Amino acid sequence: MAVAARWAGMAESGSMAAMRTMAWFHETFGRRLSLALLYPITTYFYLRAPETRRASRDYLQALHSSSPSGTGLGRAPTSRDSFRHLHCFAINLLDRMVMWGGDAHGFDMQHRGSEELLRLARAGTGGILLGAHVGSYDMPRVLAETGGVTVNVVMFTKHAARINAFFEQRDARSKIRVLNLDPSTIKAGLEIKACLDRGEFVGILADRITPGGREQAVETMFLGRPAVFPLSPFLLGCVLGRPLLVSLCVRTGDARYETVVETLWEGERVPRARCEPLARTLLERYVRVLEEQCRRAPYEWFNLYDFWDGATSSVEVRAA
Amino acid sequence: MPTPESLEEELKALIIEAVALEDIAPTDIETDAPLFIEGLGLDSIDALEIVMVLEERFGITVEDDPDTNQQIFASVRSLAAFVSEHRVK
Repeated sequence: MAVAARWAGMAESGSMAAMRTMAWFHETFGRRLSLALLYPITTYFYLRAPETRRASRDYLQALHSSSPSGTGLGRAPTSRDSFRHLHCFAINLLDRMVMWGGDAHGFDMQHRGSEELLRLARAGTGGILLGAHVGSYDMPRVLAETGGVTVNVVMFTKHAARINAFFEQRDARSKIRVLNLDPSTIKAGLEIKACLDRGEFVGILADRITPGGREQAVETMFLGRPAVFPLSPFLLGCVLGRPLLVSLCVRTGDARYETVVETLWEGERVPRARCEPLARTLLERYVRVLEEQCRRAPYEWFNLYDFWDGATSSVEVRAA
Repeated sequence: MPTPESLEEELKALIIEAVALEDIAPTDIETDAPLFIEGLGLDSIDALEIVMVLEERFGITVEDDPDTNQQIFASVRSLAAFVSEHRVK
C-alpha cells in the first residue's frame, strides 16, 4: 500500500509541474517535437525507476499468461515491451495535459457505447461513471461535455482546490469539478447524491483502494491473479439506485482515442440487504471489462506499481 | 400529528428495515444513543440508505452540510426532531 500511496502522491503533486512544462512545450513547439522529446524522457525513467519497470513487466506477464492465444500481446513480453509501456504512459500524460487545456480538437475521438451516456444526460438522470487508470481517464469528461453535462470527479486528495483552480485557469468554461471526499464520512455519499440529483455525472476511479482509506475491499481475479478492488463505488450506486457505467478511453493511434462506455446497471431502488451481493456482481463485471480493454490495448494500463501483491498484503480483504 | 414518541418508534423501525439490521428490535435501540460508529455501528453507506428512506417516506431532503448532519444523525431523538420539523408527508 505504501507504494500505491507514494505513486498516487507522485502522480498528482510532483508531476503537476512537469506536465505544465510539457503542455507549454506542446503549445510552443508543436506535437511532433513534443513526441520526440518523450523518448529521452522515457529512457531516463526506464533506467531510473526500476520499481516502475518491474511493475510494467509484471503486468505484461500476467496479461500474456492469462490471455487466450492471439489476444493481448500474443507473445511473451520483453524489455522492449516495458519500454513501450512507459513511453505510452508519457504520451498519455502529455495528451491529458493538452486535453485539460481545453485543446481537444486536435484529437480524433471514436465513441463506443456513448449513446447511452448521452441518453442519460438528456433524460436528466445522471449516473456514476466508473473509470480506471487505463488509457486516459480524463477523456470521458470530454465526451460528457459534448453532451452538455457536468462531470464531478471524485478524488481522495487534499489537492482538490488546487486542481480546480488549475482547470479554471486553463479553461473558464470547464464543466469539471473535483470533489475532495473522505470515503469514511457521511458527507461523501451526500455530496455524490446531490450531484446525481441535479442530473450530473460522478466519475470515480474504481480500480484502486484509496490510500489510507478504511473502505471495504473485495478480492477477485484480475488477469489470472488475485487482486483487490474497492467495493464502495459499486455499493454507492446500488444504495442510491443510480445507473453505473464503465467509462474508459484508450489510445488507438497517434492523437486517436476511443472511448468505451458500457452500462453495468440501469439503476433502481433495491432493498439494502440486496445491495451488497449486487455490488459484488457489478464489481466482477467491471473487472472483466478492464481485462477486455487490457487485451485490446495492452500498453494502456497505468497502475504502474505493485498492483497485485502491494494491494493484497496490507488491506483487510473480504473474499468475493 | 404523531407524538414525538411514536415518531421515534417509527424511525427505529425504519432504520432497522433500511439497513437490514439482523437480530435487533426497535426496543433495542436507545432513543439517545449515537447511531453511528460507537452506537449502532452504522457506516457512511448505511447513512446514505437512511437518507434515501427519509426522502421517500417523509419527503425530506438532507443537505450535505456536515455540521448540521452531525446534529441530525446524532441519535434517534435528534433525527425525530429534524423529521417532525421538515416533513412534508
